[in-house]
Amino acid sequence: MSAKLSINLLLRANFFRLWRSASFWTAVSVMFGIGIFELAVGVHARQQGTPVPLDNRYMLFVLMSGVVLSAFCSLFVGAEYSDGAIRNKIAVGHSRANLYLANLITCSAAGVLICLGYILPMTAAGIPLMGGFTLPLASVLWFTLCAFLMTASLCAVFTMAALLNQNKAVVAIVCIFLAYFLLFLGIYLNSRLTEQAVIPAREYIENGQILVREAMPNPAYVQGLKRTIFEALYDLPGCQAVQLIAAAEARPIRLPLVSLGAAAASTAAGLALFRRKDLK
Amino acid sequence: MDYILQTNNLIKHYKNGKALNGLTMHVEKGAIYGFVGRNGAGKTTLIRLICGLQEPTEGTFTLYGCPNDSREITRSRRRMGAVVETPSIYLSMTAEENLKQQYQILGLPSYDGLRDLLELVRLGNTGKKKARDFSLGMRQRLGIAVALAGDPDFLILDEPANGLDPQGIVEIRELILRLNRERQITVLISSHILDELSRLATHYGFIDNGRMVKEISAPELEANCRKCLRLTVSDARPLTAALDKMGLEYSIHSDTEADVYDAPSVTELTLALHNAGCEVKNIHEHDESLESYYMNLVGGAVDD
Repeated sequence: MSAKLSINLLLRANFFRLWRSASFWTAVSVMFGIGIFELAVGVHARQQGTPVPLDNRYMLFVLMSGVVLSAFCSLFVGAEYSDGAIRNKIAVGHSRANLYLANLITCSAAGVLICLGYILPMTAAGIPLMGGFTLPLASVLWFTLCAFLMTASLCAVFTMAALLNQNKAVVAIVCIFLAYFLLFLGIYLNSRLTEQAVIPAREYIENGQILVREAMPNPAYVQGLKRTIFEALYDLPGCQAVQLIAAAEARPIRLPLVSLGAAAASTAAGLALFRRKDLK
Repeated sequence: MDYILQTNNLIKHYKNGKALNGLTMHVEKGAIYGFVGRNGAGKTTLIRLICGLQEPTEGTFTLYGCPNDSREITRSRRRMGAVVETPSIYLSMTAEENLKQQYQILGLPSYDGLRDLLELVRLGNTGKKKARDFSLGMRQRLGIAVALAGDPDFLILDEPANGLDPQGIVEIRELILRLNRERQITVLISSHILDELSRLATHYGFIDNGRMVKEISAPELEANCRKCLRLTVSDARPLTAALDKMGLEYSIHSDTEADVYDAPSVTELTLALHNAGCEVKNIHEHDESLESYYMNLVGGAVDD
């Protein structure tokens, strides 16, 4: 027996389990299926004469990854409690911090692999069938990295939820709800933040007369402190997905920083609470 | 005395009250320690504390002499295996995969001994069957195999016979006895199935309301529980003379009361006492089982 119980042992055991996990392969298959579907839609549109660049379809996985990962993380980490296996790890002397971080790393790595379930068929078949990316390759790679970081930050939140609550069903419901909430919040914020500040002047005909409506401020335009708050929320993991699908318009530096910050904050909070938690 | 586990005035508070209320206990090396108490008495809470799943509110314990607040306690825990409440096994894995998982968690360099361990718990022929398809007894045995993966010399089993059919109970009992006799593993078993415990335990700890009511060895308990005739006589001195003459085993409780063992003939005994000038005022058979002993200790009914 090794002299010290390191996190590597837990990681090795976790990946051993991941490889045999039905929820992992189901998640990979779902993303693979979505990838094939989106590819088929893109190819079909091109055949109909609509120029659909590969970029448009490539980043779509970020919309689905949050929901798929919420289910995967809650099931994979939740099994530690539902099967009672967490007791084996603590009882033989592994530290709680190592146990927490090992689950976080495993889920994050699984998250990237699940996303690759979409990316691989999309790029392998998409490049020959739909032509290459319109964005420079470096940008594509950068935004892919941003998407992976967002995935990892979502995994950090879901791992925290799964390790702090021993009820797997409740955790699954909460995580899936949270993933959907963030996605729809992102869509809502996108619609509000893309409102124009001014409604442009326009001419219109009424009773045979040409009338002119002056340019006027858009009442739906969000400004001031409210806009600052909306923009901050729009950068949250989950909401970011809406920015990333239009990669060219996304903020390439801020998004990964917010993802890293969210992951660090949730991990710090989760670790502090998990250390004090009474396990059963 | 060489103790594997000692607890000193352990207290554990939950939101809804005290689960342990100053528990002090001593588990000797090599013992099968029966930890007896009704539901909610604090048995599982103590086991959770020992395993590091929870921290005591007050009090201390030592494991292999190492205090619970020492950094070295994790090293001591590695010499221990535990099955707390339900068997801690991944239901989506086979028996072999579950053991491999535990070998990895422990950092064992190879899977040597894995097959032997499966054979030891009689799960060597389960093949690719997932643990979710196992019977409760098989899961319990797999849980014990997982707990044995690190070759521990202290095994903690929380209600190992719970929910098992009679054959499953016998299998678990035989396994525990084998581990104790052949591998010299000290075993702490919590249970409220007293009849089953009485077939295994070498020592008992009776807990009630989070407190240790009594710790007693099996021979001491047997002596307390032996079937005997309890006599109340006019004078114990002629009684002892007569009993010595008859070659009977006895114990004197007071100047007028004694227990006589070895099931003597009541007629012969009373005649002999009469001849010795000892008046027998009262005589009745005294037969105390572990259950009645426990009931006398803690009072009230034992929960199932």
